[in-house]
Amino acid sequence: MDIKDSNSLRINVISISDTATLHLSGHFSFDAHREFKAAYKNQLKNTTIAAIVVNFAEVKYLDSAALGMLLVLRDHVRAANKSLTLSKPSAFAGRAFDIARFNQMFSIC
Amino acid sequence: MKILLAQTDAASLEMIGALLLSEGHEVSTASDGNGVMAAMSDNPDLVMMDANLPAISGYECCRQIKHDENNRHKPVVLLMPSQDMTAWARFSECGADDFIEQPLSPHVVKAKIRLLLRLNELYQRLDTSHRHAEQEIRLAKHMFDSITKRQPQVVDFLDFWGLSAGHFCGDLFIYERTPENHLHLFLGDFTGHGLAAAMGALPVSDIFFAMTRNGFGIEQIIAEVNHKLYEIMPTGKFCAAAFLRLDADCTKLEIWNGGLPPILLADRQSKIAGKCESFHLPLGISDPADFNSKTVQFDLAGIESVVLCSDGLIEAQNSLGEGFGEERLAQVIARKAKERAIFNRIKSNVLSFLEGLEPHDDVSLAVININ
Repeated sequence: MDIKDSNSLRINVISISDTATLHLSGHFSFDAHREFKAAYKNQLKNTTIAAIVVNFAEVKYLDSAALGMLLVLRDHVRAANKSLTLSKPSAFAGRAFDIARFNQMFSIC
Repeated sequence: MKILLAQTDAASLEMIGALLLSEGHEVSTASDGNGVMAAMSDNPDLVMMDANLPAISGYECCRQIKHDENNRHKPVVLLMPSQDMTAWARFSECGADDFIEQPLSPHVVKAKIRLLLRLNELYQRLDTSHRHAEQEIRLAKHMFDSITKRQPQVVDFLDFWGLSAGHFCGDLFIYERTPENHLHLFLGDFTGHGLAAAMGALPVSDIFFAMTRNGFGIEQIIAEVNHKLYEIMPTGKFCAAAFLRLDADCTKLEIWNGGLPPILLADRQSKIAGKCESFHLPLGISDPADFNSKTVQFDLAGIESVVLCSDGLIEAQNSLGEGFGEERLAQVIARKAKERAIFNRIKSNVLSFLEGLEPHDDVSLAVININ
């Protein structure tokens, strides 16, 4: 099954004052590993950014590798003394966060 | 490097041969297509031949070489007549890697050979790393198989089905009796596949079997498993899992669910009478000091089946990209059909839903048939 291309992850980063928002859309899985890392890496280094928000409104699918990437991001954000929020989860993302009980690890809104 | 050179024109053959020798290559020669095909058994690193060889043309030789699985990536250069349009069409169809127009320039020959040998090295490296990866997958599969082979006995009221998304299923399903004859079951879904999953499965199964046989309760065992995974797994790698304890007389069920889809309890009318949602983080994420091992108890009076699955089943996609979904699973369980056994009903429904497609994540289904 080759659905990867049409279903890959797109990431738009929008920074407003001290907050950088990563808008994800499409399928968030291991294949998006590099793009996701590249997208947050610069924001972590940026000293004017105090808060990182990952927006899941347009995420159609995410797997356990994606949840794992969020845990890694969480570690990096803590080390950089910034805040992290997972925002507006789509129905699919919300259910995945529920099942993994990610509300115990992340601020989700 | 071993280069096979085939050229009908003797002068040109001598010129290129001398050039290649001066570059430090080993050169073998052929004067027609039959000679080229026979010399392939010496496994040259590169083939350079006239497009218009007698007996079998260079184009045809190239086609045959590229058709052979072992030589698919072997660089082939055709020596082409210049400005010949039909020759170009034949060149592009035969699968050759490059061409050199005649009359030959020694500089062009040198440059192209270097380029192609570099390309060949790249293919070789790719091939080697591919073979290493295959070896690791075989090792992981061996480890996984030996873990599940340690299953001491067949429990006749237990059904399990695993469908792998790749070379083998990375979901771990193990069970064992306690000294008091209670049944412990564990279904775990590790992040990632292959070796990463197998590495995590080893300590989990060791702890599970040893502590169960020594009479520990599931709260203690699950805390120990989390502790071990927290220690050894890097951030971002974890195990979504459910741990179940079925009393010896099948009247009570205790469940710890961390990250697996809801575990469903169906009664004799196939109605879903109970549901155990995930209420914990998956294993390997929580610091052992904060770990919550609290379980939920279910009374099994009137319950006929307990259904648990990995998210690969819920998220199995059909050709339209639709997911199987929790709702559909509930409907399949509740549906009155000819097929009475819930296990077979779910399995056949998932398979027909997939329409022969390979799932993108490992699918696991376990059903405990009470009574």
